[in-house]
Amino acid sequence: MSRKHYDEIKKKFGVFISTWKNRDIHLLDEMIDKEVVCYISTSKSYAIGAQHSLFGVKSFVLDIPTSDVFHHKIFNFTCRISGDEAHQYAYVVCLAANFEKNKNEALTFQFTAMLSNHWVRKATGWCITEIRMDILGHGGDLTSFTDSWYFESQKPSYYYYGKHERCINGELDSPWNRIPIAEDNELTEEELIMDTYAKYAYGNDQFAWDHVCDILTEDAMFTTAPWGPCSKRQRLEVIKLHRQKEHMWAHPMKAESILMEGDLANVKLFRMSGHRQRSHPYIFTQYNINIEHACSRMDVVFRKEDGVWKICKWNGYLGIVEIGPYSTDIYGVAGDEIK
Amino acid sequence: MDRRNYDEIKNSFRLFISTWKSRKPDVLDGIIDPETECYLSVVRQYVSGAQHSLFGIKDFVQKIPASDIFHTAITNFVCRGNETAAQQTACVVCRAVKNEGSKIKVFDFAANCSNHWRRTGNGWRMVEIRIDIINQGAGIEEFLDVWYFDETPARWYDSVHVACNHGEFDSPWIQYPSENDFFTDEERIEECFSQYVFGVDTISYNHCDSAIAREAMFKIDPWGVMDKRLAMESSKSNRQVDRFSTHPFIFRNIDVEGNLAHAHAYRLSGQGKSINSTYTPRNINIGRACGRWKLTFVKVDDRWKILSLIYFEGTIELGESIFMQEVV
Repeated sequence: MSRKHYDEIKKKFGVFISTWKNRDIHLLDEMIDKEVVCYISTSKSYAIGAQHSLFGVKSFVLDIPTSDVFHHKIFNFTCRISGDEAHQYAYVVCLAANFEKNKNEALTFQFTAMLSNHWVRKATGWCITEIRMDILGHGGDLTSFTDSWYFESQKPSYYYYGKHERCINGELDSPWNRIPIAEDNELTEEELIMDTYAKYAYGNDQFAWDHVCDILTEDAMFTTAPWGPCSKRQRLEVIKLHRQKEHMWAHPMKAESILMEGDLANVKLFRMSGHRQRSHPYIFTQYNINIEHACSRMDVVFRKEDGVWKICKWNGYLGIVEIGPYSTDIYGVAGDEIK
Repeated sequence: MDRRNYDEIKNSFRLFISTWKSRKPDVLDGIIDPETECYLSVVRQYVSGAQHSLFGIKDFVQKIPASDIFHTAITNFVCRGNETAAQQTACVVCRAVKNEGSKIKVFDFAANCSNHWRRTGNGWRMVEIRIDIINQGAGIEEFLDVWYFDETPARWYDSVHVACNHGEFDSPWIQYPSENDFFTDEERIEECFSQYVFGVDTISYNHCDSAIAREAMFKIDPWGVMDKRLAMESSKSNRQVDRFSTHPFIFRNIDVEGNLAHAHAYRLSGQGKSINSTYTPRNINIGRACGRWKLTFVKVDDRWKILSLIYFEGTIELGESIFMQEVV
């Protein structure tokens, strides 16, 4: 039964994100509560990002700067359901590009949004009653976005009155905290593995280190530049310290392959944004603008312990990988047609 | 864990800290396992702070730079466990003083400690020691010569010394989720506040989430009035900037009235570095706070949580009694 609800929420969330491109805001009427509580980090006027109500969300969608090309893909979708309530989070990786006449190189703006939404089931179906969205990372030279949206400095600073803090709080907006005992969504083993990864990413990006701790096996080993081999404790020590240096982090992942072998699973993941290329940036041109690329890849081994998938081995390889043409599916899992 | 075991560990920890002044390391034989794992942030040679074994910890005690006066105060003591093992945390506020003619030199520091204990046939023994020492004003150069302080900006780099205490691995609340059932309300309130500051100091805000009531209000200058969300998020922002943080406290009073409790607590260290010139022969033995909290706690589902917190930054002289007296 819960699978049906999970699928409904996932589909509706996909439709919500699709409006960022098609601007068909009427679609939002059936999935967002009229009195939705909404906090968006791009909101310039209010430090807390308040832009409430369905009207506020529609305004956000309509005010996204237009561009010749707009790619948007959802990663790390997680939804926990209990009765008539659900809490869901996901990353949305976006690329907007404009081409000037007779120029091969594009003006681009890349950004990654994290959304943490609360859903309530009503007579008309599931609808969002709370939206919290942070733009975790951004970059590019298409200035219409930086002109329209507010971005807090990536350099950490002490809080001051008027500072735009993150709209999502690691503890208060965690799906695992908001719905501590969730119904069985009847997910496939592959989906459960990606749920585990989603919890790992959430913990890293939101300073919710207990989430990370939960889903690593006691004997977990990590090998990632620049830290070299790390045990579970070392990994958490270095990543926690390293996390301090930036206001926002993003770890959206796409599963390239999941090979199950009993209670083990070998998973190849592509990191779809978040790792900044310091000296070898990706140059967008007419040729590659519709090619999806990752900023690094990971070979990860998951192990099932007491019915829960956990990460037991992690090898990370920083470096750009072109994956291929964008799929038409907003979750990036089906089709390979360019639209 | 029962009261007797709790008290034994508390007394043993007090004895351990007393050796920092007495330099009688043989006392440690009855407290610390010969093969104890030991990590000290002041160890220069190893980035992890490794200085293992009873021999290693005795060496640390004996090499604390000598001073004419050495004051210590143990705060934030928490201990949870069962009949055979326990996890204990505390903050030790220290002041070393050297008289140089008419001049007084002072070194203030705070030590955030996490220790794991096991019960043996001879009583409780420390089998794991983790201490992060935070420099609060270095007026005695010997400390900087002997001890290592990694005070670089908060980011990882090759050879950085990571914190020895880790909020997820070394937390008494995570290792032993059950509350000490023999505690008085006052002790439970103190532990709630310890959990909150442990969360801030170790950047493990799940502890803060547990310790703060949903409808809590905070007022901390210069940030103004904050609800729970803003208090946690702004605190996270602040912690991102600093490598280390410490919030040792002592309570002045806790007045329980049904499911509410009103309290005042003093912060003994961590609010900026002390100014050595403010020490004189008159006040060198007087403990001081760098700020104070006015607090209200509420009991929710039989757990005490912070309902309101107002912080007043400012030095307050507290008297000599806050320092630990000689342990015999």
